Amino acid sequence: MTVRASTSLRSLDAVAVAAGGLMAGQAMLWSRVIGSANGNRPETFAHALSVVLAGLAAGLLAGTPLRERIGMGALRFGALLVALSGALFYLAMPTGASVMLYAAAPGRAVFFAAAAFTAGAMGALVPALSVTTAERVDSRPIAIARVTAALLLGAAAGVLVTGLLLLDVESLEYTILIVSLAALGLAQALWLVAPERHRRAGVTIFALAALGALVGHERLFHGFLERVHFGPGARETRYAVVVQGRAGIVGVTPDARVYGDGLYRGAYTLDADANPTLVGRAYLVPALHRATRRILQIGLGSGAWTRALADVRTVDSLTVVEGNPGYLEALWRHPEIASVLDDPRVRLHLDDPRRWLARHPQREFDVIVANTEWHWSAGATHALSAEFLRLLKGHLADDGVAYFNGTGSLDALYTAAGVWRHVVRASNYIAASDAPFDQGRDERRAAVLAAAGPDGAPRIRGARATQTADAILDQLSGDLAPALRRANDLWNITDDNMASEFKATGAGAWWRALPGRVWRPDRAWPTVLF
Amino acid sequence: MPLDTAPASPHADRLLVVTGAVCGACVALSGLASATGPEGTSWLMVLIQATVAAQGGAALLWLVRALLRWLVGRVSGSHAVRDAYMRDDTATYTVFLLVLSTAIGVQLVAPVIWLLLALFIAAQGWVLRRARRRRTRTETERQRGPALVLLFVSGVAVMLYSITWQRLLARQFGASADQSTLFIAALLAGLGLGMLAGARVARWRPGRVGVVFVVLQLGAALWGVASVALIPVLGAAVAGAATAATTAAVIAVTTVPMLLMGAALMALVAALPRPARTLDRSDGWFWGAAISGAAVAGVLTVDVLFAFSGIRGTVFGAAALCLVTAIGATILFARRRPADVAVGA
Repeated sequence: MTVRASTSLRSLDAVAVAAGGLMAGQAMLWSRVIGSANGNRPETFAHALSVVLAGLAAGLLAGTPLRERIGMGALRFGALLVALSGALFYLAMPTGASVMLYAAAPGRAVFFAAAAFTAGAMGALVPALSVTTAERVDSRPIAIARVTAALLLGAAAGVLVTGLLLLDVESLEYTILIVSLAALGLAQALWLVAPERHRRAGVTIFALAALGALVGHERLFHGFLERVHFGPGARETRYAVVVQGRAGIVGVTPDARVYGDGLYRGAYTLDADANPTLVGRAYLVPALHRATRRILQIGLGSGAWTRALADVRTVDSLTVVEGNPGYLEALWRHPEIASVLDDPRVRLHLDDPRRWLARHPQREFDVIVANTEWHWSAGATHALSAEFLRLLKGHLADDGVAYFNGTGSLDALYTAAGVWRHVVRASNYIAASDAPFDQGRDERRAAVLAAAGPDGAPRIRGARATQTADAILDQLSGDLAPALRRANDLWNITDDNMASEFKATGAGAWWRALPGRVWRPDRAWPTVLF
Repeated sequence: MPLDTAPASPHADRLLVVTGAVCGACVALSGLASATGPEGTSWLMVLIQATVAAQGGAALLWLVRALLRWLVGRVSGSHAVRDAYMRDDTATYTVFLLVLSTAIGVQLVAPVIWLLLALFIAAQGWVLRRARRRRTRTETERQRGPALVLLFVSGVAVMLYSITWQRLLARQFGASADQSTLFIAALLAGLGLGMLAGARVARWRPGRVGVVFVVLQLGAALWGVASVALIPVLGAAVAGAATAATTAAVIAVTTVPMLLMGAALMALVAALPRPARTLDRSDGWFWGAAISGAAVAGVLTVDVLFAFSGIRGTVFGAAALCLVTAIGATILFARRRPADVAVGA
C-alpha cells in the first residue's frame, strides 16, 4: 500500500476509530435505556440493535447523495453529522423520558426513532470518510477495509470503554453527557481540520452547545431514571437512593422497595406480620426442610431474605451469590438487615450464579433459595431452565430442597416437575425436592415460629404470631408434581427453547395470537355500523 | 425536474383516485367499527368520516405516487427508465384495495399493514425492474443486484450468529453485563480485523477473491454448526478456571468466526466492480445491504426464529445461509468475465 500523506491518513483512521467508538457507545446506551423503558423484555436488545443498524444502513445510503446536494467538503460534512448525532442523542433521551411520563409507548417510540436517526447521522459519515481515505491510498478495497476496520475496532473499544469503564464510574445520565460531549469534541476537530472557511465560528457554536449541555444537564435529566423505569407511574414513584454501576441500576423508593433496572426486586422489611407474601415466604424454608444446616441463596436483592434465612436457628452456613454489587451498596443503608453480613455463618460471593456453581462442584446444600429474574424478562431462561434446575439439583443433598421464584410461571412449575419428584407452590415461589414434603401443619407452624433474630427474640411474635404463621403456611399448596406431569399444554423450559422468554408470554406470543388478532368477524364494519 | 411529468393517462389517474378513496373510506369505517361501543354511532358521522377519509386517501396516494416518480427519476438519472416506470406504476397501488377485506372483519393491525406495504414494495420493485430492463445494462449493473442480495444474506447470517452465540456463551460462561460487553467487543473487533485481512487477500490474489469468499463462508457455516457442540465443551473445560481463562475462551469463540465472516464480506465487496464515477455511493450500497440484513435479522431472530426453532435451530439456519451465499457467490463469479476482476481490485 502506498501512502501519499501518511499523517492525514492516520488522522482519518483516528476519526474513524473515534466515530466507531461513539457509534458503539451511543448504541450501548440506547439499548440500556430502551431495555429499561420496556421492562427488560427479552426482545428489546435485538429490537434496539436492529433500529440502530437500520438507521446506520440508511445513513450509509443517504450520505453521499446528501453531501452532493449540500455541496460540502467531506470533513466539514462529517463534522456536521457528528455534531447532529451527538446533539440528537443528548436531547432525545430526556425528551423520550418526558413523553413516557404521559404515555409509555410513545416515549419508547421517541427512543427508537432517535436511536435510528443518531445512528443514521453517524452512518452518513462513513462514505465521506471512505472517499477521503481513498484519495490517499492507491487501492480502493484497502481504503474501504481500512475505514470499516477502523470503525469496527473503534466500536469494539467504545463498547469496552462505555460498558466497563464509564458506566462503572459514572451514572447513566452522566455517561450520556460524556458520550454527547465527545461527539461535539470530534465534530469540533473535524470542523477545524477541514479546509473550508468559518473555522472559528463553527468551533464557537460547538463549544457553546457543549457548555449549554453541561450547564443544563441536571435540570434536563431530573427524574430521568424514574420516568424511564416507571413511565406514567413516575408521578407517584421516586427513588430515594440510586446505586449505579456497570452491572445495572439499583433504585430504592422512600417506602423501602428495591428495584433493579426498574423491575421490582424486594423490600427492606422483616415484618412478616405486615405482609406475609413478601418476606414471609422466606420463613417457610424450615417448614419445607427439617434441620436445615447449609443454605445457598442466589440473588441478594434487598437482603431481607438473607436476614430471614440466617434467622433459622439450625443454619450453620449461608452462602449468598449475587451478580450485581449495587444491591450490596444499597443494603449498607439499612443496618437492621445489613448486619446479617457480619454474621460469621454468612459468606457473600459477587459472581454469576451459574459460573459460581460450575466453579464449586463439590459444594452441597440442604436448601437452595433462588430469587433472580421475572420469568418473562431478558435472561430469565438462565435461572429457570431445566438445565439450570439440574445444576441446582447437583448441588443439593439427597433430601435437599430447591426453593425458587417462578414469578407465577406455570411453565416453571412444569419444568421443576420434570427435574424433581415433588413440587409444591408458595404463592409465586416453587419448592421442589426428591424427598416428600411430609411435615404436618403443627410441625410447620412451630418451625416458622422458631425463627429468631440475632438477639434471640422470635421474628414472629406477639398476640397474632399464630395467625401470621398460619397466613404464611396458607400460601403452601399440596404436591403438584403428579398433576403437572399429566399436563400437556405447558412448556418444559430449556436453555435451547427459552420458553419463558420467547414462547409463553415473550416476544413470540404475538405471532401465535396473530390469526385471532388479524381476523375478527365481529368487528367487520358493515355488521357493526349498518 | 417537475414532480410529475409523465405522459398523462386519464385511466391511470382515475384508477389511483378510486383506489385511494376506497382505501381511505375502508380505513375510516374499520376504525369507527373498532371504536364504536354498544351505543353505536350516527349515520351522519359515518358519512362525514368516510367522505373525508376517502378524499384524504386519494390525496395521499397521489402524493406518494408523485414522490416515488420523482425519486425514480433522480436515482436512475434516466428519462427512459422514469417514463417506462410511469407507464406501469399506478397499477401497483391497487394492492391497497386489499383493505376492502376489512368489510369481512380483517383488522388493520401492524402485521396486516406490514404485509400490504411488503406487497406494494414488491410490486414497485417488479415495475422498476421492468423499466430498467428496457435499457441496455452494463456488466457491472447486472452483477450489482445479486451481489447486494449476497451481502444482505451475509449480514443476516452474521447477526443470527451474534445473537445466538451471545446466548450460548452466557449459558457457559455467565450472563453478567461484563461478559456481554466483552462478547460484543470481541465480535466487532473480529469483524474489523477480518475485513482488513480480507482486503489484503483481495489485493494479494485479485483473481481469486470469489474463491476466497466461498471458502470463508463455508468455514463460517462449519464453525456455526460446530459451535453448538464446541461451546459447551469449552465451557466445561474452563468451568473452574480463572476469569482470564474464561475471558480468553469467549474472545476465541467469538473472534475466530467473525474474522472469517468479516474477511468474507470484504472479499466480496472488493471483488465487485464499481462504476468509477460513483465510488463512495457504491460502497454505501454494499455496506448498506449487509447492515440492512443484520437489522432485519435482529427482529427476525427474537420475534420469529427463537419462538419457533430455539437457539440450535437458529444457529443451523445461519449456517445454512452461509452455505447459500457460498453457492450464490460460486454462481455469480462463474458468470463473470475475467476482465471484471481487475475493475473491482
